[in-house]
Amino acid sequence: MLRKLIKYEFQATARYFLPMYLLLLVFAGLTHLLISVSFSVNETLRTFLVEIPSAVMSFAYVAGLVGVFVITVLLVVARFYKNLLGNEGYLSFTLPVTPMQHVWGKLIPALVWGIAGYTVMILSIVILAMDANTIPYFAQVFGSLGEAMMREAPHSWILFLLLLLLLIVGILHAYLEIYAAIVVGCQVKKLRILAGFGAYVGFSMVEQLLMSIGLTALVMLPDFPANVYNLFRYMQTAEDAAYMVLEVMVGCLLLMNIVFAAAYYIVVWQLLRKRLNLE
Amino acid sequence: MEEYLISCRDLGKSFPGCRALNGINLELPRGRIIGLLGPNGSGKSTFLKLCNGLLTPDRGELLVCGSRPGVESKKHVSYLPERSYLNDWMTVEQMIGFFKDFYADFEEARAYDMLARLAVDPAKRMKTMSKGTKEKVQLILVMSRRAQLYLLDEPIGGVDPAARDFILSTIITNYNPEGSVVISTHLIADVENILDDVIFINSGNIVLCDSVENIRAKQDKSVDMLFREVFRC
Repeated sequence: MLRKLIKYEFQATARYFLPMYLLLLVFAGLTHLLISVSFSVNETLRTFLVEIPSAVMSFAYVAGLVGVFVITVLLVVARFYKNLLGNEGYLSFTLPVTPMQHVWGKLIPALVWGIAGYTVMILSIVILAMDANTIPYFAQVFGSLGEAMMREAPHSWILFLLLLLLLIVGILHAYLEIYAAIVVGCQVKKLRILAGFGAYVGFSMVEQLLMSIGLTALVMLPDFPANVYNLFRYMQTAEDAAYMVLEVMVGCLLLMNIVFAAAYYIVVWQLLRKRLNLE
Repeated sequence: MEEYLISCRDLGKSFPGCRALNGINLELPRGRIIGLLGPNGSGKSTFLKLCNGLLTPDRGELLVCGSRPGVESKKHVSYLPERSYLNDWMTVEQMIGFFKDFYADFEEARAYDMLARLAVDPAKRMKTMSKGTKEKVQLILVMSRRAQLYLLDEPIGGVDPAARDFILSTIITNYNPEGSVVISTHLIADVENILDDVIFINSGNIVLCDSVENIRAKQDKSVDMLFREVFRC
């Protein structure tokens, strides 16, 4: 059933995401074309034919970049609210599936679109910067960087794996926080959207507070500097120690994201299971 | 097979400032067409929403097709809400595919047959349809299932009189004889002729629960006349 939910969620959202991504790539291509064009004409003609259009196109491209991010978040909110807690919820919640299958049915496509969004943004920047020299240049830079990292710090792949996991868990955390805020907002009878917004602000403040308390408690541990020193003193080189520090930091961030995502998951699960009250 | 398709004991539901259901007790058997009748705000829709798990009860026990409202009961219940609930970006064809995907008891051929009889174009998108046509499509989808229990909330409220006849004949001819149909409405005169049993509900309380035959024999009145008497303002 989850597979079917995901299939229909992709169908419902692809009609927004695919044209949006395509548009961003087209904007990047046109901006690149206008910036790189050069031909010998007089200055007035050049202003009208090249400089004004390239300025407009650059603005459209930046607006497109911001738009992709904003529209992605808006769609995640709208799909969850409308399809589960609005009128369409009358169909969704009479299907023979569990509430959490509905949540995963929304979350997995949203995660895929989120990663696709990042990929398209990077691709658009590549298109923007692309010419005959830049591609071999970037290939060479990244190749040398990879080689140097493997030579100097052979376990650096762990850091990349952690960063990749952080990206995925970070997206899940962000979406589950939004879902939890929407479900909490729907516990009141009136002004549900406002209540949901309030819940989101409240969740963010609690997160900040808990993080501050955690960091303060960590630093206030007895012999904290000595313990940190002991942790890294066995490293053979300074590079190894630097990687280790980064890995520990990213690992902590990852753990924090997992804990918060799990907390929001439980909020959504319990409220949909025990306190679902469609209008 | 359970004797009763719906069985509830002391079922209660309140909203801020209003008690929608006041601890009702009810048992609905198989093979009947049951009218859930009451004025606006009497608790009819709340009861049907509780049976579908769209609301959570405050107290009491509710069993639908032998289990609490959940995945298992939803396999056997076909529900028509009083509002447009279909995904408006889909065409009718896509909606039929959707129902076929999720409900094992959905019969595609029946749906297409009813669409043809009502001259509804399956290629049309839901959002381009009038309210009445949407309601017809919703009813067709709901009645194309071989469900054990059909819960229809105001199925004739928003359609023209000619379509009402079609809807009522669709209900009579399409429901599973081993199952039951519950029709919630306040348009008593239109549905009276197809009902086997009636439940009168008012202010969250069950006022009367009897067969149409008994009402006519004992009271020598039509259900419509009795309703007007009981709910006189």
